[in-house]
Amino acid sequence: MMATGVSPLRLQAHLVAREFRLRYRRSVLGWLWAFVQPLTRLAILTFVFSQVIPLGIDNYPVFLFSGIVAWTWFSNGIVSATASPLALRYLLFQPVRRFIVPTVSVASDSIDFVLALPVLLGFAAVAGGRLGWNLLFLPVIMTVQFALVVGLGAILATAHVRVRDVQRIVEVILTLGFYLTPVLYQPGHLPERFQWLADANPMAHLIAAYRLVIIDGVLPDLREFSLVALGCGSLAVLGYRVYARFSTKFVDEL
Amino acid sequence: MAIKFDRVGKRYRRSDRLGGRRSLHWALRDLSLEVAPGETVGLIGNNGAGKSTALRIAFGITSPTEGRITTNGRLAGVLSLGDGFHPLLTGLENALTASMLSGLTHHQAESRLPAIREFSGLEDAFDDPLRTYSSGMFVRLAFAVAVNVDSDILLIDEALAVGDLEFASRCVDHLVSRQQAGTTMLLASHDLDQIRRLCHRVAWLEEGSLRTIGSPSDVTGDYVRAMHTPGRQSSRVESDKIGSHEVEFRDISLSSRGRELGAVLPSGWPLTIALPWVAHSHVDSIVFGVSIHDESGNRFLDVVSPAVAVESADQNGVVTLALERLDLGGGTYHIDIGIYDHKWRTTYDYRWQARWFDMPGPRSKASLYPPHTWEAE
Repeated sequence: MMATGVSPLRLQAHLVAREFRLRYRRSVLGWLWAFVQPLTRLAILTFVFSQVIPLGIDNYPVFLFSGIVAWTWFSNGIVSATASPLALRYLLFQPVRRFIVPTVSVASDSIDFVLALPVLLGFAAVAGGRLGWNLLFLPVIMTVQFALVVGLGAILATAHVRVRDVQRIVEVILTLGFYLTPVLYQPGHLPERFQWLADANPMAHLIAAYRLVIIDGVLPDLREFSLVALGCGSLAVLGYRVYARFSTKFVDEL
Repeated sequence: MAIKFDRVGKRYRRSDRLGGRRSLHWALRDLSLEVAPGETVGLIGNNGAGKSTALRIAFGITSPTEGRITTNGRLAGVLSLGDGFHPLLTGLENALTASMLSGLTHHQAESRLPAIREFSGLEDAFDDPLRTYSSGMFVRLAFAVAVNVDSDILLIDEALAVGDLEFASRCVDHLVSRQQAGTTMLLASHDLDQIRRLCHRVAWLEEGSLRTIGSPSDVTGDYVRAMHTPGRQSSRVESDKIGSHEVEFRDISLSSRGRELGAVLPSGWPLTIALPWVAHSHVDSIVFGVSIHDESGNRFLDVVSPAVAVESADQNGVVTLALERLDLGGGTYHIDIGIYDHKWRTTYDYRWQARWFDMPGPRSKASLYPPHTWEAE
């Protein structure tokens, strides 16, 4: 709709960097806080599930950390995307594509993930993970996850503008989701009749894919992975459509 | 066409609260208006006539309920003050982002920052976060950005009335130079002087519909006459109000030769204007402005009081302007009153056409018409 000289990606990068810096403005530790949440979770859960109730998973800290880092991105991304039309309200009053709002929001959360990645790979290397060419597949998984979070987030954001309970509901569901998704256990730990919980959950597939690449040093089953990618891609398109349809009236409801 | 409204309508839903009664309200209905490249069109009309809605739709921040809007070229605007800025970022950071949002590259946007800083006149405040800004400072920033990003189309909503007078006149000068450079403009204002000075055509909106469109002098003249049909006017202040309202007028009363003034003031008589005011919060010193203009907007008087200190919130006071005599020709005159920050940073309360009076006598082509006698020997 708008003819612009600046490339959308460059504008997006500027806004993402700004959001990210803003989040840690006037904080002494700054972006180091991005590590605090996943690392404290990692410490306590490692203690519980390797010392108190051992699950018998090899390389448990690396296994757990990969799950936590991916889940944290998913969860923070969904929450911030849901609230993004309010948090990034000012963008809606400027002549830009409105879809930039949830994308900027999710992209600034993915910086936390990118920062945590070297730490995770370091852990994996120390624990004897086989890091090699297979790591080149990581950006593919990340892209699929980005599409998933933006798509779902855009739909939830649309709903949240109308009914402000949505963010609270999302937070509750995400708390449950952390335990229902095989983050701290393996999909195989789920009893047979609950197996569908993992099968139908795109994050279960993505976390499994991260683990295969980082810990086992192999690629995920490409046919299954393409199906997941297709599902997440369709969700992104649906999210874009829904958001584009309703966001033209967001300004009237804020 | 640079801007084309094609039977545009906008309906808002008003919901009192959740589950409460909902009503629909057309803020704009069936507006067709074309603005040619390089043309400046003014929008006038009372509050709620749909001027802001039309500008928001043209800017693309909300979509019309019916009809189509087309714009050709890069847009910049000064609308819904402060909404397009991030409160936690500084003026400079906001200016950079806003410039990029209007379509400049990062490099171009950075090169505009000195000009934006200069134009805004914000000086050191340019580096402060926006949450510390007053409404007058928002206008300065928004305006400085909008006119420095080389847009093809400029949309301006009432911005010139909120800022201080020195800045407003600088803005008008700048807009004139942009017109010469071929920028298309659509602007809404209550200041008919400005409208007449800047616009090629003027559209008068009334209750969401286009009432007339035509030459600035015709349309503003019709508008002003329609505003004072008897019956609409009351002795209380109920005119169009602008401002941040930290300090407000409580009333306005006119008197002459010890009596309260009705609707008629003979030429050459004194006029005393008493303005009771109240401060709702503790602000810096304030000044009062009074101006008198005729139906076509020609100004005959424009005076400003010395600074009045505001010691506390809820302070009351009355300022009185005593004019020893008013030597105007016959006609209808309007009084605008305003309360401003003493450094002109903020308009607290501005009431356009707060009162009017008739001066009997022959209409004079000149401004002055003192009581006079002729003698021939």
